[in-house]
Amino acid sequence: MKHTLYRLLFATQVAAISFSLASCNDLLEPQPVQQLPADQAITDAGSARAATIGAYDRVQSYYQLNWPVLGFLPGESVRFNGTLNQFLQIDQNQLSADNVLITEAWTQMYQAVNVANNLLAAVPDVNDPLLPAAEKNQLLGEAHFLRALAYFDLGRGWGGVPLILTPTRTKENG
Amino acid sequence: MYENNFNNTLILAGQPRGTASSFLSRDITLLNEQTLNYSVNIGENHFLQALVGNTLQRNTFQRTTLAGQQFPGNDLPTIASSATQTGSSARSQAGLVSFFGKATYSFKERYTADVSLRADASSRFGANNRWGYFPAVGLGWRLGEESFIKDLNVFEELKLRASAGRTGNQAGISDFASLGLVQGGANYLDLPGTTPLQLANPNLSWESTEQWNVGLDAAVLQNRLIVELNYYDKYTSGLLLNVPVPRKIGFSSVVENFGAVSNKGVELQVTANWLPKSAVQWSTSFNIARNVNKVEKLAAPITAGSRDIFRLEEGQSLYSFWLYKQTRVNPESGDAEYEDVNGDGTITVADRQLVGTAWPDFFGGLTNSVNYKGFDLGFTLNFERGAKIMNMNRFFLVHGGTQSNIGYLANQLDRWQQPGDQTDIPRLTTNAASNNYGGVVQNLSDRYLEDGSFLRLRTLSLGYNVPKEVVAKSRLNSLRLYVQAANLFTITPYSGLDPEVNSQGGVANTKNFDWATVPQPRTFQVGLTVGL
Repeated sequence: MKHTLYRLLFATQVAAISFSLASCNDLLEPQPVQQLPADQAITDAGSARAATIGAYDRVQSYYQLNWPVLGFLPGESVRFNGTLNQFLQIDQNQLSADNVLITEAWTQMYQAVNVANNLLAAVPDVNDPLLPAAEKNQLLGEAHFLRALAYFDLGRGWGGVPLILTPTRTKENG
Repeated sequence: MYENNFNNTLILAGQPRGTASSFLSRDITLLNEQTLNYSVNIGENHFLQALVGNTLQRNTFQRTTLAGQQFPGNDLPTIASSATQTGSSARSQAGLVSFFGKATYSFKERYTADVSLRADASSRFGANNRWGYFPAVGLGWRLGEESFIKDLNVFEELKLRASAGRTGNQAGISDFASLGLVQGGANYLDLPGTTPLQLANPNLSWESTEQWNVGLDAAVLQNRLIVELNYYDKYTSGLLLNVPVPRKIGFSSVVENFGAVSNKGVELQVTANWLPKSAVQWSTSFNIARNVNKVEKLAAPITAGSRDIFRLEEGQSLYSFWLYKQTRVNPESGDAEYEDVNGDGTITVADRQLVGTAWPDFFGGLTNSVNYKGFDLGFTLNFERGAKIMNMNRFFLVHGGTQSNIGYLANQLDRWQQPGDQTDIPRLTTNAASNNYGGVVQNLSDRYLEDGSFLRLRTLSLGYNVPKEVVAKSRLNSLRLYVQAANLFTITPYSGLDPEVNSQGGVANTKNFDWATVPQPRTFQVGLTVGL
């Protein structure tokens, strides 16, 4: 009786371990539900439209604060009255290399470029009857325009800037 | 967990018509563990114990957040009453698969040896480097059992310990840190949009620490004095850090295994049993430790925290403050002067330097307890020496300028007032270049960096256990009455409210940063513990 019990326990252990091995992959590769893998973000009409809206959003992100601040605050018509040094530096034309408004604007502009590059790389391959050729061309046109706008602003702000025309997937292919 | 908050209009957070938030979060851990144990005595002198096992763990996290603004009045605090309502949610999941084995062998209870090995795979890491292997060995020798020590008649216990091994860490990164992801929320004109969130790093792997330590346990004078001494040396490599990348690729950083840090230290604990044979039991335990931390490898410095106040640099320690060094307040003009590190005649960001760390030189505690006939009296003291604290309250409130809605600390009175004044607080001025509202960043100086040493009475308690015979009559198991106080006093040169502070608890690589933090309370407690 005692031996049977031990065997039973042992069998349960073996079963549990083999079950656990089988379920490993499931456990180790959970899929995010709040985000999408970067290479599956533009696959149909809806996701192509959403990514285009995202390009507008990136352009709006630097147009809403950092770009006008860099343009207007150094002039005499606006004065800053607060404690954050990054704004005062711009107001008084005493810029330091670590001014976050400048690095933020630069980053947001290249984020817009990257969103547009993602669109330009993926939209031509989207095969969805809900995305007719005319709309596809329109989305591609918008992406071309928004990327050109970001480079226009980069050129206005910094002069010669690095030209990135393909989507960034890893640090190396940037 | 379910949490409801309402900020009424009497406080700043509730302006102008009340705000409220509600969180519902669920954090579930499913753990499946199976182990096999084997132990055997071989002859009289050999003892062997072995264990193998594996665990499977799945963590799921889910949270729903609701917020409301614009309330009809302070008597209607639920979100349903608000005019503007917003909601959001978060979900995440992670898995951990582990296999482990451990064997312990001891001979005559004098010599022991442990060997262990574990293999862990975490879903947080890249597909290429998910598994980590962590071996360890430990040796122990109870010298006190050897006849040549026994003959000395000095030691009740004498033991030498040594161990070496490797451990892994996966904390500090998000559940999907190794994946290249695109997320929603990049909306424009109320239309939904998507945008890249983070770069992929399929090579992301375990942060691992190789360590060895040696220790000594001894008991002398009929166990009146017990000493534990320990030395450790840890080398942590492949730190999980947000590493800056060239921003032209459309991202600002990527999570990588980057750099190495070492920790070396000694720990000493001495316990005294003053009266081992008396009815009064009195014991005192004192411990003190020192840790030396150093960033061993870091290809490029990384700044962290608000206003880049912390900076990681190779050869320095973590939690180093990166600030301008104030040399003096000019007695003639009343302006602060700063060290020009690169000697170019102007103060720029290149003149910021590491001016101190948040690491203490040493720290420890003292615990004392006295028991007599059911009465017990005890206290715990903690101390720390040499750690620096960045007191941002002084940065904002001894600012030397004029600003609506920001006041002053009394400290501002010690400012420079007339030529010849010797002080470290510059003059009061509306000239923006000379007060903290100036556009010159050097105002973020070591003037606000203070010594955070302290000695604190952590707890003091007095209790009485009602004797068994009395308790038994009322059919209870035990009855204890006690009074207890926590945080009764703190001796510290620190000018802020509490030297044990960190306002940026959620920000990696920051410590001892004080900005408008509520200090730890002083509490008094009267209690009754009833055992049924």
